[in-house]
Amino acid sequence: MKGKKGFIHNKKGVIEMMETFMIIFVIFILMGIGMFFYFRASVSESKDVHREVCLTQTTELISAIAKLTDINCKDKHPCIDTAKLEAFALKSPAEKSAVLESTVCRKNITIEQIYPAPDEKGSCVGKQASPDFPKNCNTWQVFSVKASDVKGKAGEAIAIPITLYYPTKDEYGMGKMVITVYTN
Amino acid sequence: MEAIFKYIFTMLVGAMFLIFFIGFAYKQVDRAETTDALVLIRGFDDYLLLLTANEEAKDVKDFSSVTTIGFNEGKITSRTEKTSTNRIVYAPKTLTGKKITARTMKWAFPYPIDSFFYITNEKYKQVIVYDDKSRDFVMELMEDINTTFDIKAFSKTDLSAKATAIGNTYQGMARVTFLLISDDKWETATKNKVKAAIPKAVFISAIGQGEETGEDENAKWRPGEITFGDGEKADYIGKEMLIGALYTEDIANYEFNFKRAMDRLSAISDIYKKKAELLDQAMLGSGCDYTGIIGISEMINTLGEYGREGGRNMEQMISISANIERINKREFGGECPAVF
Repeated sequence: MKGKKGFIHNKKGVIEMMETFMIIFVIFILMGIGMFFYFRASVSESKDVHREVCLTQTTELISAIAKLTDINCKDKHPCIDTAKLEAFALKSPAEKSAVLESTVCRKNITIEQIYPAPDEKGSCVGKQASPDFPKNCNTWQVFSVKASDVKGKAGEAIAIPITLYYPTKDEYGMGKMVITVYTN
Repeated sequence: MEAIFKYIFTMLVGAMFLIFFIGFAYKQVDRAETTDALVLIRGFDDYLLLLTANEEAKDVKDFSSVTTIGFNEGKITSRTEKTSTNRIVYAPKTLTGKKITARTMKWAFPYPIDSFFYITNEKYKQVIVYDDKSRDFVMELMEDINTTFDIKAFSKTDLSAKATAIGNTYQGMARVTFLLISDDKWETATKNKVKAAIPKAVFISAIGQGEETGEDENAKWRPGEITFGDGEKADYIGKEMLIGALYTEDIANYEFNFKRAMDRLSAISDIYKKKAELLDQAMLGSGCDYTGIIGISEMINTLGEYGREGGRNMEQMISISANIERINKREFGGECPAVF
């Protein structure tokens, strides 16, 4: 009798224990779902912050890039020396990376000539000694990231007007610096 | 008995939940506190590049909580983040505090080479000590840097006489670096007096090795040799490197930056050499001769390489730099475009 009563009592205890475990299990599942959504929102927010930081910093960086000793001219007003630009453009990717590579966001930097309006399009590297310069070309590729690093990523272009100095002619022109930022 | 077991079980489960949520809350607080430091460290090169938009600049970063950042031979670390920088950064090995201050100056030799960065916080102070011979140079230096840098200057006699009073202004500092610019060494008595007043004082000295010229009386002090606290010696070229020694903790980090500066000297010299070659080709028949500059740029490029080997010939480097500047001024301008 005593044993039977104990058995019934134990069974009740087991049921209560199972109830408790079930409740804890449900609470853990609910917490898990909550955490999943929290971290998903957190990752999405981090990506947005990264994109924002990237674009803001790049916009601010443009003026600093134009003043780099590797490409700038010594005038009081900021301008880009096209002879130095050509020498820099010919440097190896590793040498350029030491000066311009960013850990925050990958970017391509191109300088395009606007005025005097070029008669021909294409790279200006190797064309500056020609009497037709600066009308015989229109671009300098200053820095470009590896295609594999930005595969599938969307690029956003930011451009500012710049003054170009042609030392072989001792003349000035107008151009724009285009930075394509790869954020996502 | 069963009731007790139930209570213990409930308490255990409750404690688990409590620990989980407390841990989660701490991690969130920690994450929020270090976000600014992480953003800074991850984008450190971009942050420094931003400062280079000006010849000289100063920026204070407020992390809003105590943050430790380590700087060692081009590597930057915080609690959880590690990165490396390509820039020339003079800083103590570890900076702990709520704020850091970054300053920058452009180094030229003879053409503008690159920006140097000086990073510190309010717990690190820098003092320049001069004697009668170096007084004019230090005064000129202080005039140049006083808008950006918070460096104090004392004469050797003043420092010795007022060591206690000067020491009182530097109480509680993590390190106070005293740089003596003089042909003489630190006097032991002066060092002892300062050390008694400022236990965290560090002493370094610089001897000028430049040639005095009629045009520039302070030229003697521009290149020279720095002796660090442990007696080890390193070269310096220009006030920018001299100030760098004040912000660096040891000779290894100073030498690391010197090598980087030589790398940049080589890279920029190469650019000017190519520019001179291009001008030479474009101005053919116009009477402009760029061969001198081309040759000298080549030499300075080689010397930059040589400078990295350790067995430097500073005198030769300085003489070549002066020569290249002279040629650029004398032969170019007007009808022949200047190289720099």
